[in-house]
Amino acid sequence: MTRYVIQRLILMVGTLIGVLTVTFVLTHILPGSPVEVMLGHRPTPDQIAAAKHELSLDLPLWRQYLRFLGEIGRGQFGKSFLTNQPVLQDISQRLMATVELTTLAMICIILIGVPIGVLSAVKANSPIDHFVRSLSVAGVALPAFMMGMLLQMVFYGWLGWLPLQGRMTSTVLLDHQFPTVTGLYLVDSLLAHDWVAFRDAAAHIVLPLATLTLANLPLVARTTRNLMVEALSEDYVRTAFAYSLPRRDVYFRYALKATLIPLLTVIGLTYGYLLGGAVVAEYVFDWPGIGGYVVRAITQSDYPAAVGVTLFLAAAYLTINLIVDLLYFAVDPRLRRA
Amino acid sequence: MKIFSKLTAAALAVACVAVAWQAAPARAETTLTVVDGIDVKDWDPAVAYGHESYVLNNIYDPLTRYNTKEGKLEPALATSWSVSDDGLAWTFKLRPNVKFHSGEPMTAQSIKTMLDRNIKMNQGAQYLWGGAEVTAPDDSTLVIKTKDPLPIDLISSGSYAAEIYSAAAAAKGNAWFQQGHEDGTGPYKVTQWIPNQQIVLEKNPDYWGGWKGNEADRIIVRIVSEVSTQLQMLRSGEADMTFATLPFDMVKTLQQDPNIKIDIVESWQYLPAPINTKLPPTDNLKFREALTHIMDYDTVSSQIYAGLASVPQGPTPMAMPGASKYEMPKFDLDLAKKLLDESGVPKDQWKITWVAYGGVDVLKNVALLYQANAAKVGVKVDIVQGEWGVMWDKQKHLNTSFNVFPFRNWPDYATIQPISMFQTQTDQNVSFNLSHYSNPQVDKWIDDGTKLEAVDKKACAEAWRKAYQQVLDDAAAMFIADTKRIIAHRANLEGITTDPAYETVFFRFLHRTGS
Repeated sequence: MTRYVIQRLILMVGTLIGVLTVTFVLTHILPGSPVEVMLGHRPTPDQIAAAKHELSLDLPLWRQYLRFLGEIGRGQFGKSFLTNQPVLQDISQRLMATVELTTLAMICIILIGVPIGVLSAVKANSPIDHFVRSLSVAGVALPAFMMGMLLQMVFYGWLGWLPLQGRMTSTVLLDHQFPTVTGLYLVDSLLAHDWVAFRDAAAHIVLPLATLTLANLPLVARTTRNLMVEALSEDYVRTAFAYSLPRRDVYFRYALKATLIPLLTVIGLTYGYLLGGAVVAEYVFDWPGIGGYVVRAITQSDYPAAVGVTLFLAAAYLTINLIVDLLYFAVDPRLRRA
Repeated sequence: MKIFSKLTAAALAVACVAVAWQAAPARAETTLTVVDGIDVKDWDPAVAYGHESYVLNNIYDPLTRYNTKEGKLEPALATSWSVSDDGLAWTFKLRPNVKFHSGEPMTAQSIKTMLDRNIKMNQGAQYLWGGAEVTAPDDSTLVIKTKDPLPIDLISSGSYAAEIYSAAAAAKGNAWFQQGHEDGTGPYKVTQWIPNQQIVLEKNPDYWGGWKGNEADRIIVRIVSEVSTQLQMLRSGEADMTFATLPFDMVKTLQQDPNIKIDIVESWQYLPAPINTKLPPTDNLKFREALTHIMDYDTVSSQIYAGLASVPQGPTPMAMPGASKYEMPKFDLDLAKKLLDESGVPKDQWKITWVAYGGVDVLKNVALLYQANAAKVGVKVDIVQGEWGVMWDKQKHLNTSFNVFPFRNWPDYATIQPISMFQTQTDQNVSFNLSHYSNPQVDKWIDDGTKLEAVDKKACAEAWRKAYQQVLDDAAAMFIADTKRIIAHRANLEGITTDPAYETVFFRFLHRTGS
């Protein structure tokens, strides 16, 4: 087991160096220079030349790459051309906003998606099953930005129940400042016992959370259903029913358990995807997360930011996959014995 | 199932609680919320050279302030100023008893320290100072000496290079500014900056310009990237004003909302379209002349800009100081066809590339309109799209450049100088001469005018007029439209004060009806 983990970690470092190289080369060989964007309205040729020199953009690509690897090795990602702030600082400020949103979304997806997948499988080909399946297709078909805007129209525009955008109301953000412990507003405001801030943060997260949940729920629900349908046709399930075990036990203790390995893979991939893929919800709701940051960095040739975030997201994705793989051992005794 | 039921119930309960408790706390009466799509990038006035000037212009003051309506400079931190006969030495008398937000008194020495820093850093628009030498003979006298005569009085009024901050702030340096710190003398000071979320400004009670009493105590600048979200906030009253670049076709819809008012104000922004004088087929004068007659100027202003732009009467917007009228090319396809035939360019080479950068709808629509008209006279127009930084970089190098490159332009200070766009620049050194235009006679006129700008404005204007006329005769650019600024705000918000010299709304005049 330990050997397996070490092997995986070494593989992870290799993958990250690969990601780093591909991202570096792609961002540097694409046309255009970010310096013009960075320097503002009307920089002089001297200023452009000075900035290119300062950023080593006047060196051959291979020397830029070696210098870049050296800096990464020292934990220096450089400054973003667009925000003029250190990339690590930008990432750390935005990352927790994304983590807060996506983690909650993932919890909601599991809590809702798995039970309705099971229900759909148990009642296979019944009206309930058709309803769940139609809903899943609709959820997949409706783009996330459309979903987000519809929710905004209904809950902000018509009903006025929920806020339109952002992580908190301006005045609450100003008048109810709480110390940053985790960077998760819901947790930090609770730790500070600031109920006004907590309520405000909770109200703000509802719509983006619903958007992400509804957009990604169908995948988990449909996968659960298909796996469950298969599991329910197994002999041991028929035997369990023959022994008159309670139906709930059969469904959740035996059948669902058998689906856990493929289901965990899907859940792990969905979570990894959410971290970088929450960009649409982040845009629509002005959620100050990492998705919007990286999109802007890529479109405007902000190399340090693009490389930094890509590396970070790749690392997060690989870590999640590693955790999922390790969970296989936890859920499948056969693997532990092997 | 039990555990799932419990967890689902708990999640639903949390959601319900959030919904039930969502009511936002009441907003203080004197707080105004302004929304904008772009956060401040450079807090350091020595570096700032972009969109952030809309915030910085409310935190810092310049030495002098340009009043476009009156067409003259007004005192700001300097109460009077004079220039030596040779135009090389400017003396400013400073306003007494002015304090920076930190409490530090404003003296000539503190301004010398910060200007020295700006000039030494030579970033952003600091090139405008021409490496000036600054001295402070006493606390209230500032002397700025330059190698060549420069209009330092006008440069001191600018939106970019001229914001005055304290010597203590200068000593703390760029990293300190970049945390959202400032030390200006302006009407508002920064009390909070949460990157990508909001900037909070609070009234400076000691502001030298004084207060009437009905102004906002607190201005929250909320960063909201989507224009549609900004407008929703405006409609609901959550925001009082937006700095968004509104799609022109949306203006009419918004004007029907009784709670919203749209102010259309003068601007120094315009849309020139340099024509590449070195790249075939636009290296041919007649061909270029023909291109200037294919542009349907009226339709651009009345339809594409929905009436929020005017047909240019000269190469610089008429709202700019010193601008004058010229005989401009008119939309005339017959004339264009005649010129094309006379150009000698073989018909199979009547093809040009036209840049529409950055997903800007207006630029794309102008390009499409031009493409359709050009097709009528047999010219094929290839529209090339891409990010501004990428396209600009390509246009600067002749081997990757395009034939026509429309871009939004505005001056760095109150000047109509043609240096950046039409003075000869070598291929390695091109910045905004995107026509790759070179005419020794025009260079001389531009130089003559530049030397006179500080001391003889009339003679300067005459020299530049000759230069611009030659540029028009050489058809080195089309001047497509002079645009206006649109400011959407709640109908109960009053005191919207702007000046085209400053890309901002002066927050110190804003107040709600009746307050």
